[in-house]
Amino acid sequence: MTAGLRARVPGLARPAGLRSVWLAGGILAVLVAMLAGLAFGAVSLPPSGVAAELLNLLPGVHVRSGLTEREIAILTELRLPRVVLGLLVGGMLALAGGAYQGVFRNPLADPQLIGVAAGAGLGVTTVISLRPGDAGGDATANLPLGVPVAAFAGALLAVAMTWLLGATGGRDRSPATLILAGVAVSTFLAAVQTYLMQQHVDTLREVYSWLLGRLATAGWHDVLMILPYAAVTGAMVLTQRRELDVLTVGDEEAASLGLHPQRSRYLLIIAASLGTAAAVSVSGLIGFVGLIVPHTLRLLAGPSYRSILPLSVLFGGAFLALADLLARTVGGQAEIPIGVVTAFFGAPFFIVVLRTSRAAAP
Amino acid sequence: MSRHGEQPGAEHARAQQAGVGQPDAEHAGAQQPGADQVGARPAGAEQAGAGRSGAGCGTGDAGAGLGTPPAIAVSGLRVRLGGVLIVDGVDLDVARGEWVTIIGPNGAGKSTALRAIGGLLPFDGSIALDGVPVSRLHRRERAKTVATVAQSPVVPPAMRVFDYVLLGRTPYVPPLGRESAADLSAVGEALVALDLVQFAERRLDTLSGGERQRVFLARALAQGARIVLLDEPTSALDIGHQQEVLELVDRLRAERGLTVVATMHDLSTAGEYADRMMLLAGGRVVAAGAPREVLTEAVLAEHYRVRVRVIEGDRGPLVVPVRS
Repeated sequence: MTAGLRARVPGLARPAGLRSVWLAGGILAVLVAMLAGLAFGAVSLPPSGVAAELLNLLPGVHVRSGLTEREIAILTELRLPRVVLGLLVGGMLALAGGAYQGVFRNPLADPQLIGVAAGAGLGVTTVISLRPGDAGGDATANLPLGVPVAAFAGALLAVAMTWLLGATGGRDRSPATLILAGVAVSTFLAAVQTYLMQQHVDTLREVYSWLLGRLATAGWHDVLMILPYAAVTGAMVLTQRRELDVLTVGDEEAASLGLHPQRSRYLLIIAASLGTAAAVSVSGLIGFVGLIVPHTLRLLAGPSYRSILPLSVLFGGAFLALADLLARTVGGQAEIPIGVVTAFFGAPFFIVVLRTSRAAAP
Repeated sequence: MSRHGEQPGAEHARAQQAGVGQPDAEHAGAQQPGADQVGARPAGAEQAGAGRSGAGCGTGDAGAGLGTPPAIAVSGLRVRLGGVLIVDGVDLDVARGEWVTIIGPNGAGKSTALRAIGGLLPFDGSIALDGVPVSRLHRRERAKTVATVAQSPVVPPAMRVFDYVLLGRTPYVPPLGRESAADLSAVGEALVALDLVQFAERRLDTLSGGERQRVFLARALAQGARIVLLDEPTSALDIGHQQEVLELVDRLRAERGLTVVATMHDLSTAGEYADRMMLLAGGRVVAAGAPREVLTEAVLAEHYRVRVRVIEGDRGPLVVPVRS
């Protein structure tokens, strides 16, 4: 039966999903972003040497790269952790954004909009502000290990508040009321955060630099700190990608198809909040990645979350690694906060995508 | 599906099929295990009752034979939405392969009753599908038993027809797995049955109303459920497409032994396709039986507050509103 159909209609019996062309494109984007991020900076390194050194990191491979000792140190101790951190944070933010967009059935949902980022931000601000001693320490110092935990606690607190507020209208939590509640929660938590910052002026500079978003040169410390969170989030969200496709028909129809919409939603929100919290805790509030990356992929690669989510990890990571490259090279000596770069390029790009594909926008 | 028909349960089931009225109190708590003993489903009986022999008039005939529970057995159904009692004590038995259409004025509780039967709303009373209380069916099992086509289904932006119909296979896809070849061929078959093969690659949101309605049906068909609930399947269609869709449903019902419960507003059309009709008003059943018994000038005048003339048609009574 199916074979006959496939002969009559090319492409039939092929469910929407991750096309290999897009997967290859995503991997290519990551590799390009990595090479560029490693080769350029205050000291330029030859891309071929960088590629050779990367190969040398693989077990059992020895290639002559032609780089000096010092250049190798710059590469592996300074740039590589920073690039990897960019890939991880960008991938997490984009993945979380894609998950939120599916869960709330709203293409404008992202970690900032539903209060999760604000909650995580408050958590981190609290830890930094109330940290004993070490007042006014410089912004690039290692963050305490408690930071991701505080960020996650803040993020979950925000989600819980959003969830409860969004339910006051009745039994049903519609996507719209949840987002409205998220805006209210964000505003409230931001107020608390501002108050905290005001009360602890000694740490203001540190909090402020963190708030603007940064991929600090903290070596491998930050990478190792968020790696477990990223793994858990990735696994939880990516295994739910088919459920997200089913949720596009709404809760009641999803339930009639045998799904447990509220449970899937809970699971995805918790997973995405965990990823957001981990990202926020090391890099501050980096806007727009969670919004534009999944949305752009939806418009270009198709509406199925089975392709949007994995591609978001790849392209989100590549986007942030490149944004970080700009942040540390364009401004000369002074680094531009990466949140400024993503917003500066993200906002106009987003408007262009929206305008050119209004028909396809959900 | 396990047999859980012990002696008292089987007796209860037979009593139901025989149309013996049960005191309401016994059914008031469907969620109580005691009231759920209707579930005696002999193995291998699934296909047996597909014939329309028992599809006459009156709820008493539901269930073709003694060993076969009706496809749908509803008793004492009460549904509250936001604290308001919308459905107030509905009893309904639907035999396998039968087509029952629920009619009634706006706000009578038709859609609400249908959603409760599909397991999509909390309710009081008892609802059994193929002899199994709906509250005892796991979500996936329920989705394999009953498929619902909502009144105006959500059309996901940019989704292809093929992928939309594939959503119907959700209850068969394991939690971490992907669609099997059987799922894909079920979708192909549904597309062929509803003459949608040429639309498979099209975006659902670019199709016309009639084409979309066929796609919604295809998803329900791909779901592989033997009970199909249709909430106003024709309300968005012109009369030509209304007829086309209903003919399709009737043909699929005959071919696959589907049981159909629909809500409809167009009384003449409803009467032409239904084996039996149930008229709801204010959440209660005010008339039930063959179309000829329900679609009478007196009954419609009373409950719709309208003056109508009922004309004898080839396939049932035709209802014509006249200006008073």
